[in-house]
Amino acid sequence: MTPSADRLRAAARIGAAILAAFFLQTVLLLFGGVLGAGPDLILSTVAAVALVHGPAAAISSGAVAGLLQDSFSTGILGMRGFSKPLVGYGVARIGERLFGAPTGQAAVVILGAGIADQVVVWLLAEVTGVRGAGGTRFGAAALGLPVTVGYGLAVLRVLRRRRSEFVLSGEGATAFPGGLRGRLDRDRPGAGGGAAP
Amino acid sequence: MRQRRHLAALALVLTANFLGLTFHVRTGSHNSVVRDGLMTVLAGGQDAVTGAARGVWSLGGAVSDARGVRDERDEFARRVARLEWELTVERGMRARARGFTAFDAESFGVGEPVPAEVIGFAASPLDRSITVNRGRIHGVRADSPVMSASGLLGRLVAAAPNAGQVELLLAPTAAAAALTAESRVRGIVRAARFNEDEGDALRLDYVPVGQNVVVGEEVISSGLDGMYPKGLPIGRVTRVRRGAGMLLDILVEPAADFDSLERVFLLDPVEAPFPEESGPDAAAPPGSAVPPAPAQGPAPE
Repeated sequence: MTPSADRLRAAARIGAAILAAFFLQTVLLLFGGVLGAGPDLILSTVAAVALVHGPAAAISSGAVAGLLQDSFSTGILGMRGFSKPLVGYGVARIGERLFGAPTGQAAVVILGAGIADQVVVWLLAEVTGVRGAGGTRFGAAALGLPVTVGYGLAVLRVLRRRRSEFVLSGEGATAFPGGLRGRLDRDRPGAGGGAAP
Repeated sequence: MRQRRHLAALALVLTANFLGLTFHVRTGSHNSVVRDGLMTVLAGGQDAVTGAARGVWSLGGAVSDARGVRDERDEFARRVARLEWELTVERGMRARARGFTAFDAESFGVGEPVPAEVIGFAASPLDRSITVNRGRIHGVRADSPVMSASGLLGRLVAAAPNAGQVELLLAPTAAAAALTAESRVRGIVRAARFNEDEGDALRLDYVPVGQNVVVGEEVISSGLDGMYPKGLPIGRVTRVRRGAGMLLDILVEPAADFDSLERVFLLDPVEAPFPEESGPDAAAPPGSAVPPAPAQGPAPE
């Protein structure tokens, strides 16, 4: 399989993950929500994509996810389209140092992403003078953070497994020469060093 | 080199979004080609997923849910919702009649409603909105007031061809001019800050200390915002206490059950009762997301 086909498959997986999060967020939460809390499953997905696929995927998936969120919310178009790529990029940069890190560290990163996203939206609302954007809902969103983190970890697990299979089986060797494979090997139990075999 | 490329891409995306954001803030418009396109494409999927999810949801307690029975039940539900809605409008009209004044005579009636199904919830936890399966091709227009069978829900802020985006009264950006049905005290209803104990609630703002607002009395739309017809039930006063400064802190329990919305009614948009003005307030009515007015200040009415 060619590198471009691999990338296409990865992009399709990311797109499917975002669409799944979108439908879960907008449809399934319609059935009662989570005790009044407001998890952000779309943000979880962007954070998971950022942790697994790096900055470029984080920026593009963040832009698409933000646009989706803006279009299906009553807020101003561009607000979450601004915050999601920014937060996604930040998560990806941190994720580059944490690849293969334990679940706890990933959970902290996703939790931080959830808080950072709300802070960015609040700052944007202050800068642009959009009345009350999110103001009364920060409590609900904060209550939803555990679900946000849990969902993010689940997506992370799925994306990581897919990617590990993809790279370790040799399919992605040309698409991701050296670096990622080396890091995956290093993270395997019993591996001592950082060098690829 | 790769990091620079990423930073350049990020800067490009952020700039594009910020420009879009400032454009929409300046115009105060919720409609755009992007939103229109995305809603048109994805509303069908939402409709299908909602239908499937409702089917799965109802499986648990529906052993005898044969197709004929279900259709019959749906028909009854529609008729009950319709009757409840008519009753609600009647009650609103009666409340309105009680406080009839010279200005109220200029108020608005309630047209024939367009029933719609809720197919989606807000895509962001910081927002309270719903997507309905009625849009421009069904004769629905932006700014249509939206009701459930039991009370006012909000207004349609964006209408795609096959779907519409409804800003609920619980959204941080929503507001409605209101008055209490018995004491006839006017104010602005807005979303109260989310509270774990009280859940979602509304508050009646800009009511001065000394007004005789009673716990338990009904709050209805006053029609003064030019957004909602007068007399639509909004909720019931659950708490009155002295707030900041010379204003009362009034909590209102919504009449509509915002947590289990399935069928809603879209009313005709209210024609503006006031002539167009060129002042700063004219560009942003009370229900708009982007008025330049400060959060606290003197009562606008």
